Amino acid sequence: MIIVLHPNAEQYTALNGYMHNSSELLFVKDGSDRWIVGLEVLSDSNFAEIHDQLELLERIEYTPFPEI
Amino acid sequence: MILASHGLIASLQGGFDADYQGILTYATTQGYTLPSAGQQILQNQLVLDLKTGGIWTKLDTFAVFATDGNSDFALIDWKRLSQFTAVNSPTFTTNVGFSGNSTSAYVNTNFNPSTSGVNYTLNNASRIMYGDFPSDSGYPESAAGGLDNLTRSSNNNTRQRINQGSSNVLAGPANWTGNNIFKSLNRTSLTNIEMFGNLTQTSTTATSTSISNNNQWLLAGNSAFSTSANIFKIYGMGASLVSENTDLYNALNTYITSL
Repeated sequence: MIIVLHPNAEQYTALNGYMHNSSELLFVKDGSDRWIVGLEVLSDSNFAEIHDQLELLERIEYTPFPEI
Repeated sequence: MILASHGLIASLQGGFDADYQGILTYATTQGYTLPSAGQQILQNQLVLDLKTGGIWTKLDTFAVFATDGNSDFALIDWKRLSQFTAVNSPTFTTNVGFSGNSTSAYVNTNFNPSTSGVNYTLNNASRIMYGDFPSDSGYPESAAGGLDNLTRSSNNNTRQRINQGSSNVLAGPANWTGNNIFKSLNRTSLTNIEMFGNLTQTSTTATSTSISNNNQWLLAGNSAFSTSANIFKIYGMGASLVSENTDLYNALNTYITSL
């Protein structure tokens, strides 16, 4: 089981597209069509400025895409 | 000893190659952490080897992720003096490169071959990569995470694509997986494709259709994201590099094994 971060609409708008140096945060869809991002963003120094906001995102179980 | 020897050569020649010096100058301007002095000599030699082999001028985009500079330095496009982007925190390991997290992390080369390709054309194109691509580890790269310009880390798989849309597959498969391996996919004509795994060549066919009008992404494909098993150490795109493969492999392998 993989845990990921899931934003609500307001959080998505506030955080999606954040850039610092060569790093960017862009939520992606998981296999359940939900916007998510991996927990690794919490320890990325380039995202230090938004760390507190990232910590507030809901933690949910990741749904993988079916293999084609 | 080897570093000292290379350093002596660089010193006698009056400094670094102008293109490599340009990379260092760009990085300094951006405030990035440069590689160690010893590694700068190795990287300079890599540029020289690529030039000697006639490879450098055929590349449109080229990045060396395996470095002891910081992650921002690792994402410099050596050909365009611009940046690849680390999206959603792919893991950067010093002197190794970038790996995925299975859910959302990837590297955007910011290179769109349709709008930025000079050497990379419809029927004369290559994608080259050095790293860990073990069997059954998913899709190391693709156009914007989809099905165009996709590679698949699976033995005897025909879903390797270069300028052939999102559905065409290879006429014949190739074993093309492994750790610390050099892989390249070269389109040499409307139909012909040459694949290399280190120095082993496989010839096959797939008809070209169009150049993808999307940025090439690493660690993503088929709407999924690579596990940590896939590790990119070096990546590039340009013209076909079939006759140059031995020199290309030797240049990249010499650099990687010197770290």
